[in-house]
Amino acid sequence: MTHEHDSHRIDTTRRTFLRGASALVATGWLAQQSFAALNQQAPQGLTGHRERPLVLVMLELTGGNDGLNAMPPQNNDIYRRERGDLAITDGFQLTETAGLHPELKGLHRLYGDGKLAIIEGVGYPDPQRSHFVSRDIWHTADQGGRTRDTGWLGRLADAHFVESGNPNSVLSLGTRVPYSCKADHCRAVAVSRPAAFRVLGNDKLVETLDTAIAAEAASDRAREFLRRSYMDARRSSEAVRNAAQNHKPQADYPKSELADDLRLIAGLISGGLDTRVFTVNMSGFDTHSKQAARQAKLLNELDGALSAFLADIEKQNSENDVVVLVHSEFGRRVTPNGSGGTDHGTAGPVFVAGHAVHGGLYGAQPDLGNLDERGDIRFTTDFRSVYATILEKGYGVASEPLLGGPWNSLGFLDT
Amino acid sequence: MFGTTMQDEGWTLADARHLLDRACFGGTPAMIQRLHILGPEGAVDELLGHSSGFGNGATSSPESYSALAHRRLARAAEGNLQSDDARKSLKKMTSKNDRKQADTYREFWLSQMAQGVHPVGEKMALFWHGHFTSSIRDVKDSYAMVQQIEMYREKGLGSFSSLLHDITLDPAMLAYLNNDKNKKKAPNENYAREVMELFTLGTGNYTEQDVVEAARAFTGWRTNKETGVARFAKRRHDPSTKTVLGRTGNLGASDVLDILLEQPATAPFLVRKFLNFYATPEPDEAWVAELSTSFRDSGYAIRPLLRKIFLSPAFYARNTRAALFKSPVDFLVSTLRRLEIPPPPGRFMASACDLLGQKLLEPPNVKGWEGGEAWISSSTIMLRANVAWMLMGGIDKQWLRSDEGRALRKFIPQDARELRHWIAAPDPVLLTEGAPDPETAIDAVCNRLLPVAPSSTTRNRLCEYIAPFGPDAYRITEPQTARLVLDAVHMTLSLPEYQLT
Repeated sequence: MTHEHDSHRIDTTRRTFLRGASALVATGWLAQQSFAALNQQAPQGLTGHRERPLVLVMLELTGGNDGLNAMPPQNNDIYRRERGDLAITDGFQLTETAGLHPELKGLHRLYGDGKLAIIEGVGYPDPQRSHFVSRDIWHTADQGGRTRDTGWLGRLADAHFVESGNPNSVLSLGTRVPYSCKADHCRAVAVSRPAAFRVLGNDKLVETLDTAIAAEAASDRAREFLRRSYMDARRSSEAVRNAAQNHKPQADYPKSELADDLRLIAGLISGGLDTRVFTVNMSGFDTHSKQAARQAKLLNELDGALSAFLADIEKQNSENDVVVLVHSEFGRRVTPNGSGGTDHGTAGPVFVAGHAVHGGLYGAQPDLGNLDERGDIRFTTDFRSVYATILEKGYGVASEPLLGGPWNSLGFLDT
Repeated sequence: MFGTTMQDEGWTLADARHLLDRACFGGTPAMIQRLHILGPEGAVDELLGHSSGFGNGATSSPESYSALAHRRLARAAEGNLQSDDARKSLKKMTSKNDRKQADTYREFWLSQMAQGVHPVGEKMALFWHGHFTSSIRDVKDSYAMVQQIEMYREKGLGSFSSLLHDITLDPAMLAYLNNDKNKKKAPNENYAREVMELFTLGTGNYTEQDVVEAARAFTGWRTNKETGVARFAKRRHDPSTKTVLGRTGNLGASDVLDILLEQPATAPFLVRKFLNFYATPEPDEAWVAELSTSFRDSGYAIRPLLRKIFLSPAFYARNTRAALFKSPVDFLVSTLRRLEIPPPPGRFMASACDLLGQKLLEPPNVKGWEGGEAWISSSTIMLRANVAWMLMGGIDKQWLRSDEGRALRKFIPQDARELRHWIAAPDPVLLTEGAPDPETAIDAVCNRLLPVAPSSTTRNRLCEYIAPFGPDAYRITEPQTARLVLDAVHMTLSLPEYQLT
């Protein structure tokens, strides 16, 4: 990394931050909060590591995406026999044994261009078939789920983003912040309607409200949490609004909620918000019935939105390496139920897409001839290896303290 | 400690207020006074009665969705139509109608919470809507969804045992968790899993094998399209032997539910959820145990359980005050009730709840809304302030045309006359109790709205704001001052303290 590049980045951070903060400087409280931190060097390891800093977009498919049909095994008798009418036979063939759902046209193109990595059979030991328990495990990177009171991205932010003073280091689309971003110090910002991401009212009123809320720390936890949420919102709102407003999409996004969310993320990236992690989710994957039509529609939506997003990012000439990671809390059972659907299962593929990604297949295809005692897929790669790769190679930070143990990195990113 | 009951002696106005806030959605100073005079037992019995009179007296029948039954018949006819085009156009019509009916019903239900005759029953119904969840996104039938909520409104304070049996055969639930597609040949595990994990036992209290076996017991149920009620299709039911939670036999749906109700994990699972909703995020385990025993012994009677909770000294303990995060529905409804303003017209209420993260009839997933701290993010805290701004008359035509106005347009009534109508609603003189000086005026506003006193800095800032030319120049009768008071109300509704109950 060159010196010019480094200093340029800090300037961008500071400029964006100052713009967002200007309204609050007048009220006094912001000054003591963060300017000291801002004047420090940006932490090494995050900017000093990659030539182009990594921006991670965590895209969660909630409900349990049927990985087996998203990536239908090729030339596999067990698959065809077990899945019967639900078996996907007209998909794309990637290798002798691995395929891709026919609706994933854009992802197939990315795969051909070497910009899509697929890690097969991702899961964890003692698989949990509850949506909520399994999501918690993915979000905390801990088998104990919420017994751990921070999420894995929250721990990353606490350890490595907090010093930048950027209030938008971690940003979640929607009204809620997922548990993965739960942090002790560096809380994620939630943005649902960027155009209206502002406290309405005349200047005097807003100033009065700012001082009324921010002047002193609250004595109890709940009120302090509310106070900090308000301050986070105030610190980030102007920068978010500016970035979103100035965005001119360079790709045709389809009409869907996910496409709207990803378009906003593209806008925030190109608008210089310097966010390190975005989270976004897409629901509806709990296909206990009518799976063939429902999953096809969902994957079509995913594929269209994601393809447009990556095309947009590429044309924006972002200074960042933007990487999208697509995962789900579990896959589904091998044998369909009698409702044209599938019930809760275990492991599934993780997709990682972006310019900086080393495309190809990683991990190992699950062996349908060697299922677990319930007749479910045995995982072949622990999801924490995927996280470790993002941490070690993407952000250049040690993964062990954040993931609570050593996990091997995979090859889908370069250091 | 937990066995004791609140006594008349030491029953304060603050206690009465706490009870009203938690049992329903708060209310006016007059309501609080009335509860105070009744004493704890009288107040709790009054609130839990069938028609508590703690609404604003307005009654309304849900005539808004009388056309629903008609719509259901149209759907049933869908299958009989010969041409694809006719089917398509009917489908389009019915789904548009579904959306409209759902919109109307959300508004109806929220207005019942705000000023109907039984707000305690409405809050209970809201609890069940988040417990036995179904979503119109998946059910795609407004009639079935409305019937489900109507069941909670009618029977929500009755028996958990009956509710569990009723909901299992509820058409919206049958559709939502696919139990109407669960048949002998290849069972669908969806309902069997969620009824154990989320409705009765909680994780860790059943095995994967129990899910498989229970799914077989739940086979055979369908919804009759013409009548809209569940029917048992014997051919689809698996009559063979199953073993669920150690009990073996030719079990059917009802048998499994009875087994679940016998499990020792069920009562504590429910009691904890009740306490989290009504009392405290971290209830004392001894309290949970005591309530669970009596809940189970009573055959899962809900009204007596609530009575016990609301009369327990633990419910009034210091650490339960301002300890819960208000849901968006609570935020909105309690604001209308405390400010004594009628529900705004159009779709304002349901839209505002949606904006703040709680779209009625559409819980985010089968677990319902997570609640607690999860209601609050940088996005929702700001949007709560903005909803308060709208309610206090912030909207004008110019703003409606701005970027923000456009972004929030679907949440506000389009008709400017309607806007004027509800801008004028809150009465600054009432809210300040006609106080002659800014301090007393702000105290009156805060006392009416907040569960705890604001910090002195907050109080001072608000006082300065409503009296920009000094306390001596403060005249509530002047329109400029009245406007500043409404601003102060808007700010009070935006404070951290107001988001708690």
